[in-house]
Amino acid sequence: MMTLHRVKRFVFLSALAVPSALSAQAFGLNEIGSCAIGRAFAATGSPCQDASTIFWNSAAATRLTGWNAIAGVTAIALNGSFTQDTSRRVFDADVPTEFVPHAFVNYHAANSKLAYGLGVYVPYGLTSQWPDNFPGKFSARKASLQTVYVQPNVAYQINSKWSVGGGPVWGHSTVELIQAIDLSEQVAGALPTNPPTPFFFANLGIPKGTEFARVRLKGSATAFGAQIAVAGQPTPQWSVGLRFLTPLEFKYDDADAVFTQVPTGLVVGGSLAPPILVGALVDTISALKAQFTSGALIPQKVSTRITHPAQIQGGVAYTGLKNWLIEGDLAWVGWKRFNELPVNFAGPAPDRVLFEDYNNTLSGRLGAEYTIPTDGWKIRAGLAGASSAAPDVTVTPLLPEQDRWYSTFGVEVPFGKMWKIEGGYAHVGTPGARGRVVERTNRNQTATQLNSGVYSITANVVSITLKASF
Amino acid sequence: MSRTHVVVRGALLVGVAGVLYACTSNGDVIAPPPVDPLFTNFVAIGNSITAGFQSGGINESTQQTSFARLLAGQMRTRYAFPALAMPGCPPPIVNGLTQERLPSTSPCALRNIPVVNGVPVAPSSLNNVAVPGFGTADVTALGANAPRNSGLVQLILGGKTMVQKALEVQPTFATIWMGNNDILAAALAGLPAGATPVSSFRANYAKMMNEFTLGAPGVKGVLIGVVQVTGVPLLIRAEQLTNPQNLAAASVIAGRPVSLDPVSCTGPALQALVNLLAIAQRPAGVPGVIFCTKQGGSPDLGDIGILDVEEQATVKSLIDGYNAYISAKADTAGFAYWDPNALFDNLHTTGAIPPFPIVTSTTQTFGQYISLDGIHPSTLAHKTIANQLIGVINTKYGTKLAAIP
Repeated sequence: MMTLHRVKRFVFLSALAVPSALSAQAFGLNEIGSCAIGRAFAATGSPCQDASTIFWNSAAATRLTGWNAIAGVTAIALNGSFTQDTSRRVFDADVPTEFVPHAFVNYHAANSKLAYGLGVYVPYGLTSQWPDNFPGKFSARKASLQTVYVQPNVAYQINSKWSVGGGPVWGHSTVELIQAIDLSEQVAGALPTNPPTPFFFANLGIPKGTEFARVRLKGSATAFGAQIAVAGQPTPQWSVGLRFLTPLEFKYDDADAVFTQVPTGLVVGGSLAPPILVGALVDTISALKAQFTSGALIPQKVSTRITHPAQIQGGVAYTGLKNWLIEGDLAWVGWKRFNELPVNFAGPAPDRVLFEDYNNTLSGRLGAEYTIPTDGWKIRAGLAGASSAAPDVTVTPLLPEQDRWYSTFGVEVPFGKMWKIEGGYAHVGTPGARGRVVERTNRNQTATQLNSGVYSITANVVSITLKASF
Repeated sequence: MSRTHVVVRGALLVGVAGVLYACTSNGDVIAPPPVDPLFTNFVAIGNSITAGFQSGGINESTQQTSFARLLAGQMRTRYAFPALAMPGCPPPIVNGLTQERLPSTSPCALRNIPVVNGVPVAPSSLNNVAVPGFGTADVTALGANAPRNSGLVQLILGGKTMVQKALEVQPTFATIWMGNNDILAAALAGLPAGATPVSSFRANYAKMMNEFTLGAPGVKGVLIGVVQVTGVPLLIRAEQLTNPQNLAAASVIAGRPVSLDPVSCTGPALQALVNLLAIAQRPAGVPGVIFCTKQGGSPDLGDIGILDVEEQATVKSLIDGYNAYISAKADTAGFAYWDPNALFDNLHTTGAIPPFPIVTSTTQTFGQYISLDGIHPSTLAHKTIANQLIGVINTKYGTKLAAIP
């Protein structure tokens, strides 16, 4: 009962937490347990000896004995910037440090072939946030994806060497997108031709990047999936493992779109034709204001759909060196499912589609763990690299995706009879990638045409986890 | 314990190696660097000349002839200008003799903005914020508070003051050519009392410079002096009309028989400057007699459209006052100063700017250096101006801007 309360509490905390991007490919997150972070996420061949194995290799839960519970949190501090080609101005991202929780519990009776457990973890999430002067705010001033997976787990020990495990996954996701809306792109009138030719505020001198409104799209959804795994120990020195997490498709069907007017402070500099008359405040032009009361920018429902992709990870671990564990993993993520982000309004606002066209990715992970025999401390380190899921044309303010690598370090310290505390650190580096600050309105548009600067990103990740075994 | 140290040290080394690797970067800004960091962000503040106004009109074609664009090209820096759709706002004159303009269905076309997949793609900021017609009182004013507001102001500045608009590019270098319109219209009308007094000019100019340099700390540039507008070829010396052929041509331009008043137009008074377009605007039935001095009465046919010798001295004195202030301001602001009058004096002296319109030419009526409105520099003159500015900039800042061939 006590455990159930804890689980509920962490489900709640997870739902509140705002994960940050840039610790796996695209909006994936690997920060599931401080031990795994210390080993650069090489944790499927021989998972960490705690209940986080429910995520990393659910079959290996049979290797734990008795009750095992862990809870922790990971802080992700991101430094990002965009350097504009033309002006060489640097716009720093404005992402707050985010905290991502994880919690697992597992029970395996000593003589049983079955192990039972529950995991609450965050495998996908994203926060991108840019300042008001960032030219890409019309794509994303702020984007937030908060997803928590809850996975009951059962593992079965087939024989002394092999186990299988798995369980259903229930996912809850909240998405929020705040975008500026550009006055220069709004239709201002029509020239008296036959047929009339519409013209835009841009034709009246309003520069690109004039924010006159802001929209906040927010909604949540649930989805179901599953994770299965197999764990083996063909020899005393070698362990292998494989896990498969199914994709979860979240349909945010009842999201809210709220538009608010943002003062431009512009004053018409000279008369053209009514209502563009000298001295008029642009913000009070009736046709513009009407957009918020009876036009396209009234409050309305909106829907979108985001597939959280499948994951396959396989690992091989070796323990033949005394007190050492060395593991190498390969992880595949089916990002190709993230090809479009439809934004469909139930009201008069125009629908649109964000073209993502992501590619599947493969990452390599190499981790090592040394156990100090005298006191049981564990020292961990690792290196990992991941290729970018996004093509060159989809490096955007929403997610300036690019190749990345990790250098990690961790330590585990036992104390008392049943407790351990562990910490993990990861530095995430990227090479920088050319990207765009405008929407891609047509798939014929290329990276060369659209990209106008360089996104540079690094992150520091610090994790702490408390473990109990009894 | 020593083994532990080895392990920890090894792990740290792995981590450090990763961090160092993370510091390399292959994502590069691809815009070529400017010739000198001084020119990273360039802006041109000014009026019709800087905007690229030629032959009484402006459109995206004339705008591209501006000396500011030529300079930006030599600086190898970004240059975005407020392209005005063809045929222009207003359309330029295409015949120097008939003053016929490019055909148009509207007196003022809008901005030309490319539309890609239904979305207009306007520049987010401009490197040329010059507005035709603007004077020093307009540069820091908004909307109706700018005395010389027009539709062009909206099309170019989009609802901001010229200084605000200029600051959007975070300028590191600027050319500022402001002040010609503080006196041009008054001179053309023959009424120099309508010019901006020097005291007001100084206050306006100081306000502009204060706002601009406060908004762009460390900005450098060139301040350009006011042109002695008595030299514009639209103003013809009365003595030119002693030539019967010129007199006949003047009659065509003025739309009525033109003659010199034999009483007032003698001796030094023949140096009076005549604006034949003002003579053309006399009410029907009013003769085309040119008086070289004031005659009294209302209207005074010796005053409107005539800049007599005394008035020319007044105009010169005002402009000298303007330029003394601009030059001093350049010194205090650490800017270079360029006086354009040496160039135009030389063009007059050599005959490159003819003393009387070339009535046999519809396309070079005022020579190679002045466009078909008889006021604004031609494409060739813009190139000459740009090269002179390049010399001034290189001298002042030790830069190596190449001259335009």
